Amino acid sequence: MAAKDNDLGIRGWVYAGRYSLQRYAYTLQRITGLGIILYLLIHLYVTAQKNAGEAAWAGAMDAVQPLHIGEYFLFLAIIIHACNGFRLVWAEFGLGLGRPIKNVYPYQTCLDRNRIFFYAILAVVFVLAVVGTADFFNLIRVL
Amino acid sequence: MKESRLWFWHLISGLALILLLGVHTVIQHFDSILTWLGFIPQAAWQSGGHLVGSLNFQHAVLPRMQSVSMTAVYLLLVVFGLFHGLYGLRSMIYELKFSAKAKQVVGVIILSIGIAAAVYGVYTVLAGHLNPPLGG
Repeated sequence: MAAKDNDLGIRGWVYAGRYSLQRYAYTLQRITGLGIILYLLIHLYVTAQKNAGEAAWAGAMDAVQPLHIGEYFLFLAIIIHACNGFRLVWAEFGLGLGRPIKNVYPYQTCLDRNRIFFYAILAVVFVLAVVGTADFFNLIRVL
Repeated sequence: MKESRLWFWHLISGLALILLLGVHTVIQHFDSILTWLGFIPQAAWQSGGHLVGSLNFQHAVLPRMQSVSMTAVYLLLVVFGLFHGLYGLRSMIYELKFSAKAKQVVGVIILSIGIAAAVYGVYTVLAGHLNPPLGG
């Protein structure tokens, strides 16, 4: 019997299957990652203009000014990617998954045991998002 | 380099980026928070004459370019950021249904982009540090 073809192709980027929350976090990790690497390449070019002097740098900054709100979404993407990435690295090293247990009913997987870590990360993302939003929109001045 | 070793460095660079981007973000973008906490004098923040956060070219951008510690942060950010990002991008593309030959071509293209961007980024940071545009 031929082996089942489990290669989902591009569907594999977004399909969570039965893995639920953490799998959607993994999808979000990839979407935010794509945005960040695109920004990094643009950012390299724009910030390089300061070597040509203040006028050249100011011109480059003015050119990207219409995209300024994009920096806010970039900030959100970075904190999501960083916090969730931290959880993924920890899981990769076997931390936050609990000790191996016997496979008896009621069944529990390491995903279940890691979920509390996932909720903690969500809380950290929320706090950082509030602080960053306050700073980005200068809300701190009126506090 | 072996794939497992590349993956290991992907993890290590990710952890390093959390630290480096944390420094970069707090210093250069959380200036109003730092002012609120008292780390930056209110008057300096209003005039843009403080070293952290401000986009004032003469008083903030140039001193940051000349700072050895900020130059080190920028260099590590360029190298780790490009490696982490482009290796991640390559991993995503490799999940698609391509032939081995096509994947090899994609790998070479991404490696070329990475090397070119790294050379450009490192040159930019070092040139800005060693030969800053003092005349503005």
